[in-house]
Amino acid sequence: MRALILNGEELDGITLEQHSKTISKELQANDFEVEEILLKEKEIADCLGCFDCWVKTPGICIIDDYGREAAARLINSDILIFLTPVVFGSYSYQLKKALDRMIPLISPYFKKVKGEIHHKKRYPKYPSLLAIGIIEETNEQTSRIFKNLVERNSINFHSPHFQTEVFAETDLDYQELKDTVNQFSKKAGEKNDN
Amino acid sequence: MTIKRAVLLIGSPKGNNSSSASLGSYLLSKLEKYDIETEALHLHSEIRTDAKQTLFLEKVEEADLIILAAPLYVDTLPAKVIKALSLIADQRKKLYVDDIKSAKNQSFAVIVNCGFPEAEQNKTALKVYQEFAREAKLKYLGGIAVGMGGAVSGKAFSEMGGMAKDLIEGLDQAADDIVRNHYLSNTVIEKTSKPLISQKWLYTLVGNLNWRFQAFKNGVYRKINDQPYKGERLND
Repeated sequence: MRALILNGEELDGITLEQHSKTISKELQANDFEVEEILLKEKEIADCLGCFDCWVKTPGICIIDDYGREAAARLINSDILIFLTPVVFGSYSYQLKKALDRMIPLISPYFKKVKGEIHHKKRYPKYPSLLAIGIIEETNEQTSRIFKNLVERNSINFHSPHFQTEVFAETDLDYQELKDTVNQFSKKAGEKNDN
Repeated sequence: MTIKRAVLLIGSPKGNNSSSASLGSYLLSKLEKYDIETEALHLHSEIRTDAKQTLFLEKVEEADLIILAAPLYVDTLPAKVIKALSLIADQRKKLYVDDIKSAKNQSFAVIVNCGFPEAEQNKTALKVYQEFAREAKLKYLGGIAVGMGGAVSGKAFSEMGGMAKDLIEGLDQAADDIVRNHYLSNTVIEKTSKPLISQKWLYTLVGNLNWRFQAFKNGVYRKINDQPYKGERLND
């Protein structure tokens, strides 16, 4: 089983190195082969919104940079972890620059999901999603928006299982973070077995 | 506060050939009729370098009203828009700490459009924009959510005929609310969120056919469902 951590640490601001190490260790303890991408170190251009990845080079972004490799790694993972500072209730620029480039992983064709229109799968299998948001201080409002966003993403990324947690940097409990990862990896494992 | 100067931030990488530009420019043209000075800025080019970012922030700072028109990318703001709004929020926070007297009262309104037929799919993004306004200490005038963005796709509303009737009426009313620095009225929200094509199935049918047609034109019709990364084993 493979796990991919997309670390969306910004150039300035909260350092997520310790969080990432903790998540990685816990995943390894659950028999996952873990890979981390520290996105701020990778050259990933912003999505051009051209949809050529659907109608010109199906499944591959026309921009030839690390965005392609990140997409290949993501789709071949069993679980995916978004680790990000919470920015206005959303993701950091570093994480979002990568996520905007994941469009080639889904199909252009529409389908209905619970009465709403979404895009069909391109691949038979997608990773389960765990999103860990880090905020400076506890903020119910931004946490709620973040959780809502991840839930929406889980529909569009066809995640078999998803979970979202927001931790405040001021009183971060690493044991709680470990428990979250532990619980998630077990549940995601069950889903993948089904 | 009287709005004398408005700046439109266009958050689509497709520039003038985008639904965001069509929607934002229409609203801006309506504001001009109220003698409001306006300027449109394309975020993707405006914040490319440090020097450009400084100029960009100066232009934003001069405005009484900031309007953002952007597409929905992966359920939220496009990466570049997050970056631009972070710059604005940081600048505003700094100003409030360093020199509160020079911190200007500014208002913020947003137009989000998505390619899905349901305007409601923009809801999460609107919450994010509202949170940005709160953190940047901007007066939030509300958000307009537009679905079926693919039907606009850079067109002028005059080319869209009756399809854009409700949208035009909603944006006209929005200009009227904004010029008075009022929160967008319910009429605006209702009219602008109405589907451009009343039958959802028709929009998706035409959309699906359009993908096929474009793939055919590009000579990749048979490859449209390809899975290029399936089972790929990647080494570091």
